[in-house]
Parts: sequence; structure tokens; C-alpha cells
Amino acid sequence: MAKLTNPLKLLLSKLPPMPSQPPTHEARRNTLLQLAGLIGVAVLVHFQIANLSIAVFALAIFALKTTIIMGKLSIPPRLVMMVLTIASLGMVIYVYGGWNGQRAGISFLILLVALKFLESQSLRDYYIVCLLLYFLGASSFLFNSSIANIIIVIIYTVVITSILLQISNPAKVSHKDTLKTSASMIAKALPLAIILFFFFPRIQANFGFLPSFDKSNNASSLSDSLVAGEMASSAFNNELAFRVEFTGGVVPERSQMYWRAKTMPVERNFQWSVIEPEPKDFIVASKIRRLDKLKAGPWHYQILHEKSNDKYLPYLDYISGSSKGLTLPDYSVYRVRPEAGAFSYQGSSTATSSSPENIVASFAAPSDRSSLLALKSKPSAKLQRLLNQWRDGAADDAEVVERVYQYFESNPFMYSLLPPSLDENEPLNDFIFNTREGYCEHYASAFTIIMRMLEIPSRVVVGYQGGTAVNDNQYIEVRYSDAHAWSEVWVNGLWQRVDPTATISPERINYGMDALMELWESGLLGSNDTGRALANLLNPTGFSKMLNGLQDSWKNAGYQWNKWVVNYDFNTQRQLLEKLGVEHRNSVAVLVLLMASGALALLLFYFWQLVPRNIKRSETQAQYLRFVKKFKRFQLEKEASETPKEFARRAAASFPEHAIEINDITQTYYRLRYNDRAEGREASFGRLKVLVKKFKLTR
Amino acid sequence: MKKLDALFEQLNSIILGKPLATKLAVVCLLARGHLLIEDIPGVGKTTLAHALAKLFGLPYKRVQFTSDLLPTDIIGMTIFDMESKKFHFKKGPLFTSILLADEINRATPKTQSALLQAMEEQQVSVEGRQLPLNDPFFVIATQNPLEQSGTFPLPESQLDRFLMRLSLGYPGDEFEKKLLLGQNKKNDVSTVFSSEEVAAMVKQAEQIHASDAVVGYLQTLLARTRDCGQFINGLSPRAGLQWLRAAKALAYVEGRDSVLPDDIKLLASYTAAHRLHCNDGSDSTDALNELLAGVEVL
Repeated sequence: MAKLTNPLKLLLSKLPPMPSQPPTHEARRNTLLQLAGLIGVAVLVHFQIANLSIAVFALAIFALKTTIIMGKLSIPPRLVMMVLTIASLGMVIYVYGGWNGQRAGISFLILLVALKFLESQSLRDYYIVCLLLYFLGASSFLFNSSIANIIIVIIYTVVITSILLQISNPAKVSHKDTLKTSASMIAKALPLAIILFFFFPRIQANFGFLPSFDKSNNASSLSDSLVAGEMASSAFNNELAFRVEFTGGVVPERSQMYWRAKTMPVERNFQWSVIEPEPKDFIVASKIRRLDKLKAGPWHYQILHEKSNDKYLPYLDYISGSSKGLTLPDYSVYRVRPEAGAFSYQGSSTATSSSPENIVASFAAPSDRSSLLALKSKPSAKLQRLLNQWRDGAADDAEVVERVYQYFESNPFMYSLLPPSLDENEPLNDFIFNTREGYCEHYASAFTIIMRMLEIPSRVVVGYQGGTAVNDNQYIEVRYSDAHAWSEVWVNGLWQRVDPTATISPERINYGMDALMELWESGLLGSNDTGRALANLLNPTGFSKMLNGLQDSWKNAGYQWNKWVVNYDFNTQRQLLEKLGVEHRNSVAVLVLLMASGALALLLFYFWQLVPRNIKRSETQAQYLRFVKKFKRFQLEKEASETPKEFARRAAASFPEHAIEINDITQTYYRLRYNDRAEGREASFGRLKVLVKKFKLTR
Repeated sequence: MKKLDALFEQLNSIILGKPLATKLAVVCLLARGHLLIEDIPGVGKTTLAHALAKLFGLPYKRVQFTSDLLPTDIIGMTIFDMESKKFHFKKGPLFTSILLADEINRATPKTQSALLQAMEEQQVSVEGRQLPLNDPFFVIATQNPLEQSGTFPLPESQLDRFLMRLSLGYPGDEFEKKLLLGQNKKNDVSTVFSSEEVAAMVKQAEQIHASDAVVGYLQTLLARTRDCGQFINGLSPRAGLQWLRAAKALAYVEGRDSVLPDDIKLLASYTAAHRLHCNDGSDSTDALNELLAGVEVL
């Protein structure tokens, strides 16, 4: 019973013993304070990632430890440590609702570092703290993989390594020395790391153990629904969505560059939205994937997509081949599981969805006509009159479409980035007859609703239009500001794109969003000076041209970085290996190749060590070697073990007419090299130089 | 220097056709080293020793080593003088400046080793007393090739005490003819140096400069003998010291003020070969030459 009265004591006695203290030496206070400083910085840097309350908690623990070090106090008892640990665990669960997610993971890691640091006593503990700090450094790549971040992490690694060196060294060493050592260690390791990065076989799979992508991530993406006025705000979001490189050599016109992301068939009061694909769609998708003809198409491209948790991938209309995602019957491409970071994929496209052989057309036929005509909006009387007018006397649907399009063209519709809000009850009526001012989504939405009212199957497509060509069309940058919406109608047995925005604001389609924004900002949009302003923008002169060039180079650096480092995956590795002439059949072959070359490198290194090192020659020796070199032409070479005198004897025997010069040079050289006490060395050296220079062998 | 030239002129007129051997013998003397001449009988070993002694004006003694020779026969012994009723030490042939130990490998190891202390320390211990030897003290030992019967090979420790090992070899045709015709002047040898002059020359030879470069070359060679794996043992630091001392003396004899790598290289087979023994029992001179061919000189 006595034992039960103190269950806590019992619990503590069952704990494993504290790690034994290595007898070598103890960490110096100074070094520990440095370590503390580094942890402080690391925690502060991760502030932006971790939740504020967790960061404050970590900093509090950290401050406690600093006080302990400063005051040479002993660490808190194990009970306190246990309470702190449980509290931190509880906090993570409370704040993030569980373990899953990068933020939860990183926050936990920060807490671990702080707690381990607090608990640390022996050298071994501090080593573990350093190890955790390395891990913390690596974790920052989950959030930011820019060039700048890589440099910061390298510096951070150098500092940790330096501290590790300080801790592990029993003698007092200067910071300069350890920093130098650690920098040189990392400089030596970097080439190997780079080689391994590029050539170590990439595995084409999703790791189950990687932290899942956070739902609350603030990465930009296109909304799954189209609400009038919402997309216009993205016009000011200059964030990069993806980059495209056309690989087939054929680059479409800008007015052809419609990047489809989402197809929205469902309308509800002037708003459109996507429907999640159903199982039958996946069956069709898997059929589409099996068709070889999907590889056709004049446009082939590679897309490097920035981080996004959007399930729909943008492809150029009309898709005929894709390397990532499932191509759905509505041409959109769906991926089941979004990647954690940036990603890349290839695609190919054709200009139209038509042609009888094109299987895409057949799978894309509206299977359910009624769903593509379903409408929540009802036409007003005024609109009904117009609808009847359009319908009357039209030969076919195509003519009806043309008439509606004409209507938009001939009436004073205005393109605006800040359109007025519409009447909530009758938004369509309000837009068509009153405001007549809107962004692409207004026009796409209105046009599609009218099409459905006229019983023509239609839908809204949301994606991007155009993009910014960088470095002479080397690649195209598509930003969120390039987001666009247009309409698609089923006419003459195939889907056809109708973009009412093109008639309202041709600049948007022909010159892109950049040009449009420029016009918008200078207030010239829609005015008479539009043409001149556009000309100025498209043909920049002087300073602005240079600025554009600089911008292009910076963008290009970022592009290459993203292409070769951030998005370097199985496919890019294959591309690289193919460029290097290595047939990339499977990763086992590469692994074997890698191991073989590694073994070869080791072997070479072994033999290289046996080879006498290239000794640094003095100036005098260099002069003498110049002299020796002059005999090379006459097949007379000095053997390494031959003394200069022996060589001189041989040379003089071969070239008796030069015997005097040869002996003179040898004597002078000997005097300089082997009589280093002699006076007038500089004069002798000058003489040797002259003699060697003047020495010309003839036969 | 003129005197040295005169010395070589006389020496080479006695030992015909062996300018290198005579030069090295002089070098050995000036480097305060002992000389081992290994050759068959009758090629002029004794003549060379005799001539050197006379030319340098140094006292000279000769001991013919036989298997029954005792240490006291060379060091000397204490005898009781009946007249003075006292013991007194009768100095043996060791107390001289140039000692020719003829056919040294015929003596038993006991007698051979009696020479050890004398050669290294230039003094002998007799009945607890340290008796200094002459300065300079120069042993010229001759030995017959070991294949001959009735010989005791010199112990390694003793071999290491010889600065050089030379062999004279048969004279060339031309010189043999001269020799047979009695054209060498064996008898009218005149002393060239006084013993003070010899001491001064020895000092001067020690002052010859050896640059870092040349010492580096020597060090490389020494290191190679130790790590090339061909020899049972590499060269000792004493061997290196003696090698360099010999090189300095060679430079002095040739009238230079600094040692050249050529000196080191030339002396290799004379100062190093007899101290080295190949693992496989082959000739150490060949192995040494091979080693030299693998070391760069510049």
C-alpha cells in the first residue's frame, strides 16, 4: 500500500535512466549561448509558419533555458519537463486539430527543439538539438523553395555546423576557425549533393508519410464557381499561376491561347459552378487515356505549375494529350490528389474540338442535353422579346449564336475591371439592358444563359487567356490576373468556343492582360487614344525597354530555377538524362549506373592518390622547365630522375653547338636553386630568365 | 685546391684508371668516414690505403685479419714490465690515423666488433679507461667477396659504420699494360698535406652548404628506402647524416661551395647500398638504382 500512496514516484522510478554523461568535456557556456541565439532566430523565422501561440510558448521555453545557462542554474525537474511536453502536445492538437498537415508538423518540431534544448545537459543532448535544427532548416523548403531561401538555409547550416564543431571540441576554438571549417565542409559536400540531386533515381510515387497539404493554405487558385464580380478582383493578383514552354516548335497565336481549367455546366442566378466528376466520368476518362490519337495536335507544351491545391489542371484548348490527371468528357483535367508543392506536366492540343476522326469530339458530345440547358434564371419580358427576335428566321443554331454575338458587338457594352454590382433579383436583365459594363465573367455568364434560353446546349469555361511571353517566346508566364471566362456552345455537332469578351475588349484577347492593365491604369481603356497607348506599350523604347529586359532576365532565372530545381521530378530527370544521351528505361538501370560510376570514381580517386602530386614549382624551376621544354621538339626530354647536370650533358651531346648555352643555363639554375645562400640571387634569376628566353635550338 | 689536384695527380698515377674510386676514397677521408673496399685480392686495395696515408702525411698501420686474430691484437694490451715493476699499456695498431684492416671478413666476429667502438667513437675502452684515438682516424677495410671460403660476413651494425663501400675492380686494358710495364710510380710518393691541413680541410668540407632543395631530395630518397617495401630495413638517420656529409666532402673536393643533387645521386650506391638488404636477397645496388630512377630531381 505504501507504494500506491505515491504513484507518481513509482511512475518516475520506472522511467529509463538518464543518458550517461560522456566523460570527455562539457559544452562551454559561450557556445551554448550561441546555440540559444540560433534557436531563437530559427523559431522567429518559423513564426510566419507556426501559430502565434505556439511560437510564443516555444520562445518562453527558450527564454527559460537561456536564463538557466546565464545563471548556471540546474535544469527543471523531470516532472516539470513532462508537464511542459504534454502541454505542448496538447497545444498542437488544440490549434491544428490533429497531427496532419505541414503546419502542425513544423509547430511540433519547433516545440521539440525548444523542449530538447531546455532538457539538454550533456554533450549528446546538444548534438541532438543541433540535429533537430538541421531538420528544421530543411523543413523550410516545404513552404519556400526560392533561390533566396536556399541561400539562407545554406548559411544557417554553416552556422549550425560551426556550433556543432565548437561543442564537440574540448579545446577552446575561435569562431572564425570553426566557421571556416564548417563552410569548407559544406562547400565540399555541395557538389556531391548537386550531383545526387540531379542523378539519383527519382521515385515516381507519392509518399504516404509526407505531411499532407494543408487545407488552409493560402495558395491562389481559381474558384470552383463563377460569381459576377469575383474574378475581376483577381485582375490585380499578379501572382504566377504557371509557366508554359512550347516544346513542339509551334506556338499558337495569343488569341488562340485559351487555357481551360474548369468547365462549369451548372447555373444558379447568374452564377456558375463545376460539378465534381462522377464515377462514370472516370470510366470515360480511362477510355480516353487509352486512345493513341490523343497524342495528336500541333501544339506540344510543358507546364510548370506553381503550388496549387486546385484539382483541375489548366491545359490549352482543345486538349489532345496529357501527362497528368484524368481528362474528363468536358475537356477539363482532374487530378485526384494535389501535390504538396509545384509540379510539372506535358500536354498537347489542337485548335478545334472537331473533325470526324477526332475521338475527343465523340466523347465530348453532350450525353445529357437537358442538363446543358437547365437554367435557374428566367428571362424578363423585355429579354424574351429579344430572344424571339434572335430565334425568328434563323436557319440553324450557328446563325442564332452569331446573332447574339452581333448584339453584344453592336450595343455599347463596356469592359471594366470594376464593374457595378447587379440587381440581385434580375442580374441578367440588369446587365443586358442597364449597366452594360462588366468583366469577362459577366459576358461569359450572360452569353451562356442566353444560349440556354435559346435552347442551345452551352456552358461556361473558366481558365486563363494569353500570358506574358518571356525571353522571346522561350516560355509564357500565366498569372492569376490572366484568369478568364468564356462560353462554349454545342453547334453543328461539336463544341465551339465563343468569347463575348473578345468583341467587347479585343485588346484583352489580342495583347493580353498586361496591356489591358496598362491601359486601365492610364485611364485610356476604351478611349480614342487606346491605339497609340497600346503601340507605346508593345514597342517600348529606351529606359522602359532596358527595364523590360532586366525584368525578363530575372523572370528567366526564376523560371530556370523552378524548372530544374523546384519542379525537378521523375519526368524532368528523364528529360535531362535523355539530353545527356542516357536511355532512361527504369530507375534500376540508373541506380546501377550510379553505383558503377561511384565505384569507378572511388577507384580513380584511389589511383589518383598514388600519382605523385603536382608539386608547386618555384619561379626558378618554372624557368628551367621552360628551357627543358625547348628540347621537346627534338625528341629530347628530361627524365624526372635525371639531374639537371645529367640532362645538360645529354643535351650538349645532342646539340654540341649549344653546349655553352646549355651549360650556362644549368650552372645558373644550379646556383639559384642549390646555393640559396649565394648573393645576387635576383641578378642571377634575371640572367636565367634572359638566357632561357634567348635560348633557341636549331639543328 | 691546387694541393688537392696535386694529390689526385699522384694518387691516380699509383692507382691507374680508377679516378672515381680514388676521389671517393679521399671524399670518405675528408668526411671523417671509414671506407670498406670489397674486392678480390690483388687489385690494389692495400696500395690505395698506403698511398692515401702517405699523401696525407698521416701515420699508417696495417693489420692482416685472420681467423685467429684477437681483439688485443689490434687494440693493444697491458703488460707487466719486469724492469719498472709496473703494468703498462702497449698500444696496438689501432692507435694510428689510417688503419688498413686487410681482409676484415676473415677475422671472427669477436675481433671484428673490437673495431666497432673505435670506428664510431674514435676512442677505445681498455680496462675501464677511455683511450682516445688519433684525429683523424680513418679505417680502410678490405674484404673478399663473401663467396670465398673461410669468411665471416660483417654484422649489419658494423657495415653501418662504414661511410662507403667501394670496389676497385680490374684495371682497363690500357692501364693494366701500364701497370705491367711498371709505369706507375708506386715508390716515389711525396706527402702533400700536413695533418693540420687535413684537419682544416675536414672542417672546411663540413661547412659546405646544403640547400633545402638538396636536403629535400635526400629526405625523399631516405623515406623511399623505408616505405618502398623492397628492403628489409630502410636507411637509418645515421646513414642519411653520413650520406650528406659525404656529399659535402664531394662538393668540397670538386671545388664547389654547395651540395648538388648530382652529389647525392652519385654517392647513393657507395654510401647507401651496403647498408640495405633486399627482401628477396637480390642485389641492393640494383634496387637502389631503381629507386633513384623513381625520384624526381629538379
